[in-house]
Amino acid sequence: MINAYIILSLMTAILLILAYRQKKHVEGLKEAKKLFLNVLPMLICAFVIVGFINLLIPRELLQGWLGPEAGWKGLVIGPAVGALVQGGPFAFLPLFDAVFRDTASVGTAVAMISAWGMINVGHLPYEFTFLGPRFVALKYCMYITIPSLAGLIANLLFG
Amino acid sequence: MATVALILIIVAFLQGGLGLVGKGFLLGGQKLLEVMPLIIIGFILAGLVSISIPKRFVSKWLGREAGWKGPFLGSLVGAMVPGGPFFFYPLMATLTLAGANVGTMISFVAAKTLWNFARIPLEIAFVGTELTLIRFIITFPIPILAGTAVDFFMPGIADKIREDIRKLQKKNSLLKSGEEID
Repeated sequence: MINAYIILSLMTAILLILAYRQKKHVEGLKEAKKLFLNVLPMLICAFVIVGFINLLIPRELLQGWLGPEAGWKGLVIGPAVGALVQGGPFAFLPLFDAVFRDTASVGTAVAMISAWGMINVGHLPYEFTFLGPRFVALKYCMYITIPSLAGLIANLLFG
Repeated sequence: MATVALILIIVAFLQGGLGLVGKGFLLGGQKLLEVMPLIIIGFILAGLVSISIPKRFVSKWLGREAGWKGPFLGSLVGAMVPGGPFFFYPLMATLTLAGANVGTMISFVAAKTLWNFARIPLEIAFVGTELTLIRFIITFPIPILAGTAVDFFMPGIADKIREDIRKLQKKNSLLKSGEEID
């Protein structure tokens, strides 16, 4: 956690200085505020879910589904969970930290995070509206198995 | 998300009454407070990144036929472009109409979700350095490989998808003007 504070603060400081030199720092902070207010309801929802999952679902059960003993099943359940979680990185990553970080095996975690990004069901309405059915078919044909494969490789190499 | 939260709250109420519900909120609130400073820094970072990459630059790089370089450029720009799906899918439509190949866009969308430079520090914070590194290394080749494969095996699909996008834009603008009349 300390590492993250240092890295994030450093990056923010550098960008803030760059923006200040272009006189765009106020615009950037306003943009940040807008983003934050947009995501806030999702964020609150995500943390309500974090609280209740910790309370209601026993750790052993999650471990059985997603941990090393789940084997190949983890590589299917993990991505399925990832693809369903909504709310962008500010909701997903803390949720992962609080619920899945200690329970999922390396491969399942890799598969879950990849699936959350690549084949997130929340993107479908946007994809259909702006790019059309052919693009959606192409993208999902190519990418639907990738998270599980990435997880499998992670388990073989680092598990 | 709200539905899931509500279901969990109801289950908690049925299992342990109001006491358990209160406990759940307390636990969630505690977690939120723990990571709040990090989240706020994350948002400031996201806001600054989003103003530092001008849109003109993106369309200059990607809005044209780029040949075999397309997937590389697409991945690189995809990894740098900030914003959520409500921003980058319309951008992809615009770029495709402007002449970008479909392989470039397939690379773009994969890199946007797999490489995403602005997300890496946040991922390190919540997922851990080791796991982030493992995930990044394993998924690194995917954007470029996928885009190159599309351009190589399905060169004809670009025109069909452009046709789709044109139809959709017509439909969307009709819907919009309809709303304005109402």
